[in-house]
Amino acid sequence: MKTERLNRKGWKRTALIAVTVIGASPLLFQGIIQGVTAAELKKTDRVPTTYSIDAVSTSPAAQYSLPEGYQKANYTVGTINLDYYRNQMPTSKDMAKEVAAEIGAQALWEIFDLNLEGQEIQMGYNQAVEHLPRSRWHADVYINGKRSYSFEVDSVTGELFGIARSRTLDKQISLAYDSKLASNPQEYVERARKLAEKYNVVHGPIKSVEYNNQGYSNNDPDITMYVTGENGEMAMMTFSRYDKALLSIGYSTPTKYALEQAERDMKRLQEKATPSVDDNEAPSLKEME
Amino acid sequence: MNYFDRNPKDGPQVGLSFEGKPMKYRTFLTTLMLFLFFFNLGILIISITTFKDTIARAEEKSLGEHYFITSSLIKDFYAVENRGIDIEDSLGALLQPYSYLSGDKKVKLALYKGNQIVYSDQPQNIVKSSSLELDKTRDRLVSSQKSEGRTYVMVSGKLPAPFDDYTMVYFYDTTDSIAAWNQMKNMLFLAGLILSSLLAFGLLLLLNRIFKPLTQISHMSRSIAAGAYDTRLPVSGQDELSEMARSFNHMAEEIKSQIMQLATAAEQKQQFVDNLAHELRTPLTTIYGYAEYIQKVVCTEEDKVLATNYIMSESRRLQNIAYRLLDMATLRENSIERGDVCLEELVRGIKQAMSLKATAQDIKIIYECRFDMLFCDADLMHILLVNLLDNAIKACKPRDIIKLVAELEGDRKVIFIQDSGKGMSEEHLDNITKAFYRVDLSRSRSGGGAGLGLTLCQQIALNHGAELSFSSELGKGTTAKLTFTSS
Repeated sequence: MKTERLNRKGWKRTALIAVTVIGASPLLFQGIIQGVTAAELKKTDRVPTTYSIDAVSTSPAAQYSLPEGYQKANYTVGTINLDYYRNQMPTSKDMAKEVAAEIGAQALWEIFDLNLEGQEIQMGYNQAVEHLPRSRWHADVYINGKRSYSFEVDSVTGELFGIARSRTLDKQISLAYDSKLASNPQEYVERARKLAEKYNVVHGPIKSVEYNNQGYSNNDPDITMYVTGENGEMAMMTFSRYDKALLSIGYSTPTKYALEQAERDMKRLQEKATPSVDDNEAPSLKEME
Repeated sequence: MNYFDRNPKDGPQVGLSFEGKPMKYRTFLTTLMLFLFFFNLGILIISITTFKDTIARAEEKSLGEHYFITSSLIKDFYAVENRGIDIEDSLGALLQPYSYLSGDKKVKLALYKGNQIVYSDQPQNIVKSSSLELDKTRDRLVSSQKSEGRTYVMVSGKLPAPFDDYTMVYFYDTTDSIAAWNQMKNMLFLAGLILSSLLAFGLLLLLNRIFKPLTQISHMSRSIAAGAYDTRLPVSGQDELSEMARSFNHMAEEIKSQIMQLATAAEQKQQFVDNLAHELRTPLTTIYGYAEYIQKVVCTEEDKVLATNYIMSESRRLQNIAYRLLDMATLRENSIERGDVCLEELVRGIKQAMSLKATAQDIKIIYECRFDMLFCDADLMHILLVNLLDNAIKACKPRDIIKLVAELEGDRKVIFIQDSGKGMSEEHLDNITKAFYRVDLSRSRSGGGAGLGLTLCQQIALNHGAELSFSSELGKGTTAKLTFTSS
């Protein structure tokens, strides 16, 4: 009887201790975590930093270093006649459209060997937007009244964002995807490397050249290559699959912004694509804000 | 007082309590505490690791974006300056493009010139001035700050020369990430709490099962201590617990056997003492009585002679008892010296000893020997066989026949002494080798018998490694059989 009473008492005490320990241990460890995390938040780290500033963009003389054999042509600078451009005006920080046109004219001379004597460049100002948070000058170049080239220049720094040639082939050629070329794009890789080195597309030694995609525009089938520099810069070069001619170069800044934007969009899509709880219901994408 | 302190009043404790309960509870609590410690330590490590990882990723992203913005801003500064435009007038326009980063309201920018804020896209100032006290090594500072219930990773760094009087400060709101981490941590602890409770319950069940045999052993020990030697533990399976139960049962069996032997021995000793006292009392009373008679009564010379004769015969009987007891003690304690004895010689000696008595009783003894040699102590074997024949003569009436047959039974040597006397019951057969046991209670010791004959025979047989057994049938006679286990 006495033993049984002692057992009951012992059992009650054990249960009480067990419940207390089970309840108290998370609190104790939570407390430790709070302490550690608070200490972690109080920490301040020093990060030694050296900024690699491109000498070309910082030197006041940069704008006056002309391509070999270049002479300023006599071309007219106009404005693109679209509401979109009329609604956006450059600010005090932006260069004048004539300065931006001249930067483009030099690039066209160097890359496409184009003399703009007597031709017209129409300029349009673009404010910074999310996918490209830099204000820039867009230019359409008219050769004999026909829009044949275009380029984009950073309206503040004068950095060339992109340059392109527009042509419409009047031949019946296949615009289809070339799987053989996709599996063996070596010829274009070599061509891209050669021209990227020649025009210093990534402002330094080239690390790699990779095939990216195939497409077409204006009846002209094309192929795009990614050029990566050892300095981390990344550019896109598009060639015609018809005659291997260089069609466009997208320089590092807009390319990087575009890739970052694509990454953000993908992330947002993943967040919105919530799987349905009901197994019988097909998964669907929620409307994006 | 400690819960586990033992109270001496609670009874004997041998390593565990009498009931085994505190040990069970101690094991339960110790195991539970160990589990909780390591389990929560695991959660703690995971939580701190994920927290550090969350902060590290936020800091890495912040450092990357701060570097990118600063690099771009320097280019802008150079470009604007090269065009002869005052930077400070264009700060808003130059920094505005980077507001895209705060599209998700997580990034905030601020630009300081010295300690003066010259641009900010945030309503409140959450920068500690200490963050701006950077040395000239152009180190950037990265830290976490709390402001108005929100947590930010802050990266601040001076712009390189010639714009090093400007400091770019970048804030990345990590409140949601930390809230997510906090939720994960709390979920882990909640899961831990549930699992711990389940473990505690499971552990208690397991320990109940493990300690059940110990409790049973405890109960059984007390039962055995109380004299219930037939109590046994149930045995099932082949695990250590079953093995322990088996061992304990074996121990209980041995204890029972030993206790039975001790009880039997004690009983025999008590009976021996009782019988000895009884046997001594009669002759001593007789001796005292006759001595008193001689002393106090005026008696004739003839009466004196008669009384002294009685005294002498009773004394002789006491002497016999003493000698026999001494013989038995000597036989028990000393090993005998055996040798090959010619059976014919042995039987001749027995004939000489018994013929007179047998003739006087008109009883015929027949001797049949079917082997030649016997490995024994000749004197002790003589005593044994004479004792058996003497008992046989006492059980026989005139003209009865007693047989002494020595023969081989298989490869064993056997000696029978068979009489055709009155025989005895089964009950008597079990007791005839006990000291002072009398089959015929009415029979006096007048014959001078000490009542130790068969006890002595049994002892001699044991010393020879032989087995002495009796078989009898009332009215038909008794057979004593001596079987030698060694040749």
